[in-house]
Amino acid sequence: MILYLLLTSLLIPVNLWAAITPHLHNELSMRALHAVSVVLLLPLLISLWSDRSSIRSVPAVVLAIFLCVMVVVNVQIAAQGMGVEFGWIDHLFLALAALSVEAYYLLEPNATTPLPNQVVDQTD
Amino acid sequence: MATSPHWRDHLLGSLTGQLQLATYLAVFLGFSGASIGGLWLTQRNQAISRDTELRANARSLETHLLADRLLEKPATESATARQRRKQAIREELRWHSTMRHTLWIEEPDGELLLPADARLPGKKAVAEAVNGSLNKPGITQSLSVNGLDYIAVLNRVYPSGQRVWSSAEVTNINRAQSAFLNWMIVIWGSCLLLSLWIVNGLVRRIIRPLRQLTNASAQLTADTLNTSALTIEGAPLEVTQLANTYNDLRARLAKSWADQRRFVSAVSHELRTPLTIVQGYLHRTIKRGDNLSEGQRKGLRTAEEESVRMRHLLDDLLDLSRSDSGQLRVNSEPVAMGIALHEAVDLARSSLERDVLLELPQPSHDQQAVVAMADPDRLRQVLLDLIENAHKYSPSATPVTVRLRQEDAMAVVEVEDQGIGIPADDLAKVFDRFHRAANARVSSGSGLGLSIVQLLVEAMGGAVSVRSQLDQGSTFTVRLPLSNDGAAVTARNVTE
Repeated sequence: MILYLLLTSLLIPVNLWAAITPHLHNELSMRALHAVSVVLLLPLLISLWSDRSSIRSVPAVVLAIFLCVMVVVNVQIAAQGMGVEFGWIDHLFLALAALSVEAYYLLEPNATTPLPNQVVDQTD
Repeated sequence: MATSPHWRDHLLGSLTGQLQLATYLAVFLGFSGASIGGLWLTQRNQAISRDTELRANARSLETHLLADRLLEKPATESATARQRRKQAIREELRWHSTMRHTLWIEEPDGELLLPADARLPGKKAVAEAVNGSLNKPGITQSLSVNGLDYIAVLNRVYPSGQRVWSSAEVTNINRAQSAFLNWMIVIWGSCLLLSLWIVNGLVRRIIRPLRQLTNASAQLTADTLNTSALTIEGAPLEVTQLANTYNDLRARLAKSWADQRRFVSAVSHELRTPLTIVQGYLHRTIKRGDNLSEGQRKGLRTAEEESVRMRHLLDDLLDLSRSDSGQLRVNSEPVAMGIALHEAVDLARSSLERDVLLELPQPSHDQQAVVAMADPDRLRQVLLDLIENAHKYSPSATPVTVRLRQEDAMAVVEVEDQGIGIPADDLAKVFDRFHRAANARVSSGSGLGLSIVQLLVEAMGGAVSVRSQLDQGSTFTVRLPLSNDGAAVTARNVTE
């Protein structure tokens, strides 16, 4: 789990770099970045669903909707490739989504992790 | 699917985790902020520099075109004059264009006037790509044409409808920036990993004295209170102060513990003698009192039983006190275990209203009797304590079984009951002083019996263990070392 949080934290500066330098990364790295970002957002969506009874509902719903939109949009971008208008804004939102992952798992006392035991033990 | 967040305890619930998290955050924010800020400033400066260059070229061009009145469209202009004007503009464009920079004019009718130089390839393609895409002057746009990167800007729109454009080829600059970005990521990642590694080591080093303190506290027992002073070298001031406080506390505890032991020992000694006298008088009165009524006899018997129980309790306390002060004396001599078990079971049968079964190994010609090294009196005390314990926690209809066998070089005695059993959580503490299992509802008993059993068995060089299942019963196992000259002793004991 700690490894997951570490990887997700790295997405914050990486997406900010991508937002600053929209024409410097190549097609493959751009698709990989969007795809990895989507994959790392999924555990938070699962956690929000499994923790729905023990967390505050309004922020959780807002966060879940934001994450769903990010997942859909970025799956499309990863499939479609470069050339998306205002792609740099998407990178800003991806950085924000990665930040929300960190904030949820570190600050929400009722947060549970959807990762299997082995992963938790290994990373711990 | 969800799991309890053990990682959270590790990360947020421990000082090590919190320090690691805090330092990671500091390092991460520092590196990320510096890299993002540096990258943004680099990009911004380069963009400003390129825009300034483009606009400077365009201004120079416009100055010359205005001086030659080429940006003014006459109301009436012949075809020849128009061609001359356009040719003059193209010549001017050629003077201001280079291999990287291109300037062109977009006529009101959409015609593109490009530099009059065939050695400037690809300029038309760029102009055509940009043409019509931007209507607002001063906004720089990036585009890619034939695999090359360009930036283009519409510099000005003149009242005549003519538009002055400029563009620059930035492929190499972009490549250099891309290489810069790649290197920055590599250096950023390496520095982050290196910092984390160093920070991790430093945090462990800072925490080490606290771990030493924790380990010392964990190993602290009543026996080591006097000898477990903690010395931490090279620790920070706060930890050294904590260690000193810990040592002061330990010294106070040691003194308090010693006072308590002396008190218990003295009180037990002082009470034992009068209690023995009281017990003797009670016994004699019951035996010789011819004129006692049945009620009086019953009351005296109860008083005698209570005095016996009190004496046992005092004996236990004295044993514990002697053990704590290293004065417990236990003999070690060969004891025929079969005979010792017979005696103990007979005593138990006479005092307890319960079936006590004795299972001894079948004697054979090639096998000698089981003889162990023990103190006969203490062994009897151990066996009676275990049988009494089994009796206390078993339903009245069930028997207590005492079993003897030989295993490797040990004599093994098992005392098995079919009682309430011991909860798994209590098994590890069952031999602790004054500990009573959670399901023990019997009010009698001091909680010292099993700790005395362990004390005496270990003093005789043996070991005691327990296995139990709730509502099924418990089996206490005593292991004592076998005697080397068991046969002779067996013969002597049997003769006696």
